[in-house]
Amino acid sequence: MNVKKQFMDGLIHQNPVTVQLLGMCSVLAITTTLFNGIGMGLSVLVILTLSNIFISALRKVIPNKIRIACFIVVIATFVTVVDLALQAYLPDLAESLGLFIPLIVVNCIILGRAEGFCYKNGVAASAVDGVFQGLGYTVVLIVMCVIREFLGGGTFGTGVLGPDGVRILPSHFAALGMALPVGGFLTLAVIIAVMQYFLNKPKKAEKKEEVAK
Amino acid sequence: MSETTAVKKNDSGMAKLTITLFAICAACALVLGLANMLTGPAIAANQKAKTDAAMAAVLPADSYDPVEYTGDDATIKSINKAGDAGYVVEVAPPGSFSGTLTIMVGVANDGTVTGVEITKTAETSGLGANAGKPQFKDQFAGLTGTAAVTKDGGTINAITGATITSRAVCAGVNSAVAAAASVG
Repeated sequence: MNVKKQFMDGLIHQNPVTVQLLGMCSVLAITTTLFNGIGMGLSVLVILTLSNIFISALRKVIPNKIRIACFIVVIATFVTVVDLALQAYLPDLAESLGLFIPLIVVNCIILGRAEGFCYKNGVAASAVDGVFQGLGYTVVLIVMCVIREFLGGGTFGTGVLGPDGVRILPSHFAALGMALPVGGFLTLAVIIAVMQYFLNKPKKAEKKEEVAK
Repeated sequence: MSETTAVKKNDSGMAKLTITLFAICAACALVLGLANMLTGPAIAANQKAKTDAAMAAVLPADSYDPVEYTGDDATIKSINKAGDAGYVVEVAPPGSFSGTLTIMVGVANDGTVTGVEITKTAETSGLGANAGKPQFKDQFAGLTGTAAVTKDGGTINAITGATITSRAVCAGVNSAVAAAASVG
């Protein structure tokens, strides 16, 4: 078990959103305010970690033929539990995220990790994987929320720092499109492009040196 | 994605598949039942508190008595008689941007709108969800006649970037006024 590698994979090299390109729907849809981003990110983190632990623990019991059905049942259970808990104890957040909490069931990150990682690895490694993959997802969500909220509404931290957040730009400077779905696509594309640029930079530098020699 | 090798599994018989899947489903059902039992009362209390607060906000009254609505407007969810002041109508107008939008409308005895509250919304956060903000919903208080956004020739200023939501709220208010008139 290589915790450091798992950490780097979750946040950068195998980031669920920007590298594996999983779970795009929720990423594009809910990243309009910081409150949503943090809430959604943490919900996915909790569900992913729990389902990773259980699927990994059950991996020797679950027959290969019906593994997807079993994964989905386990995942759906945890999603529903988190959904109910949010509705009961954090009704504001549950309302704000609406349908996207139940839709975590079909979020490919969770099924993807179950199939790609937990079914082949031990409980501890899977738990760590769940936490770091969840963190990777949360970080991207928060970055997107901050960018879109700033450009789309001119504020920072809506729902976290007061109900209307902190106003940075006067509201008539805000580019409304950034809060609409199109802004989600643009922001995500820019984030992926920037990340790929920096991930590939060292490789290119090495190549150039080789050519120079 | 990972270097470790897959655990080898023999092809299992149908009986084993069925039993495994059944056992997992049963365990999950048990967990769900427990979760529902634990959270159910809190969720119901949240919803009731919200409905009560919305009713008190749109048309304050000492007591609210449910009234049976017999009309054919399927968007009317419930009608409560707010003391002698008028009616509080909960309506889910069609044409909202996403999911079900439910609004609580207070209607005085003379058909004047006394207030509007959003009780359930899945509108876009930061856009349509702003329907719950005072700048928008306070426009309905004191309104008589048909509600419509300025774009449609009415008096309601639509929420920036959320004309669809604004129109849905107007439609809901109109249904509520009509429903209150039909029972009152």
